[in-house]
Amino acid sequence: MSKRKYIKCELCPRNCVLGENERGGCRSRINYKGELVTLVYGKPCAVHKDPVEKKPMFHFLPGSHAFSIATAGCNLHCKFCQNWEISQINPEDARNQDLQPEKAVEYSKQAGCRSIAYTYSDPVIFYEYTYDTSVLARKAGIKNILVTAGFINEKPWRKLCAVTDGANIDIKAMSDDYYRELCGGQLEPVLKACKIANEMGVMVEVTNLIVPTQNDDPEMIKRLCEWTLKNLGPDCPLHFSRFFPLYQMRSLPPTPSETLVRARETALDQGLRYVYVGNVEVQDGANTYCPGCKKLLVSRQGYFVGEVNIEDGKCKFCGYKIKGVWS
Amino acid sequence: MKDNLKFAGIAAATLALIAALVISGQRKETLSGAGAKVDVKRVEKLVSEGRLTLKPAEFGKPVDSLEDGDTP
Repeated sequence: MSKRKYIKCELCPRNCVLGENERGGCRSRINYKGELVTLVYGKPCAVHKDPVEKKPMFHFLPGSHAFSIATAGCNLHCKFCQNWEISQINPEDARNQDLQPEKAVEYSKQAGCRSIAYTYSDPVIFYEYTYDTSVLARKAGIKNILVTAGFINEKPWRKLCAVTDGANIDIKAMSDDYYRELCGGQLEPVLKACKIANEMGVMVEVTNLIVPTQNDDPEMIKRLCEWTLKNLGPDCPLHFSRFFPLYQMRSLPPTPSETLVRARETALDQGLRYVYVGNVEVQDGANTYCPGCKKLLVSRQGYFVGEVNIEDGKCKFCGYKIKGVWS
Repeated sequence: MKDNLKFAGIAAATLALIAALVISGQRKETLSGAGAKVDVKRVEKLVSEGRLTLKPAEFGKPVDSLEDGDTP
């Protein structure tokens, strides 16, 4: 019987079919001698200790640090990528280091981090590394955070969510055309991933990068708010993030502050309770207020956390239960 | 006779070239970034230096043809 020539990778909705010595659209998985292999297991190209607010995760151990790791590559190819230096290159061209899961957990403990964030590029493309590290981290009492575009198939996603505590998922736009034309992806799998993670008890926060002239239409932003409210609930934190002209969209201006403020107002009007503005200093844009008594719960300036008025997951003043991971 | 043979040869070569272009074009369109050739020797060297791995990955399935992909 002759050996089959191709391998289909069913990790993400690209479902790449690879001939021998060919790589997937993510750049990190290849058909090597008739077997699907990952090039990046335990070989991150970025390792940092970040404030968890940088992810951004605002309802997740505020003021704590996340040991943050990433490998090269990405299964989306967003023309506006803000991390393109590592996401849009082959792993062979990155400055990788050896950091096996055991070491990642050990170093995160030594660094005083309460979580490990799989971030910067997308943990989907270093799936096995993320999963194995997450299992060990949990055993060591360290929480796991995915910062992802959520472009992944259901089976692997469910498996990963089972060992994940928090996820910041990008919804890039409520438009399949936008995903196809600017990112090389699709909208529907992302929305499905958000719902699954939420249903599985992962603390989901959503980020929407507003790119001027591309996805800043107020109607589209309204649709995103409506969808989030309906499918993830009013307590799902929503971050509107400022775009800076990078990668293949350098001719566009940065997102005006007013656009972000307007988007926040739209979301609050729709009934979402925790809406934030990121990558820009806007008054109250990063603070958390109690939906019950309206008092300040968490004050933030940049990545710096000031007062925290949440005790046992409730507002210190009125006892309103605040969604999040607080201890 | 020689001219006919020459003409047939050129026609066959042209058709083969067109076919190759069409097939590679379709592949590019279908897989959108997937299917790029890997410099295996370079990868193996980087693996030996500890900068990459060749670790078996999950969710791979042997298939018979390219048509089994559905990349956007």
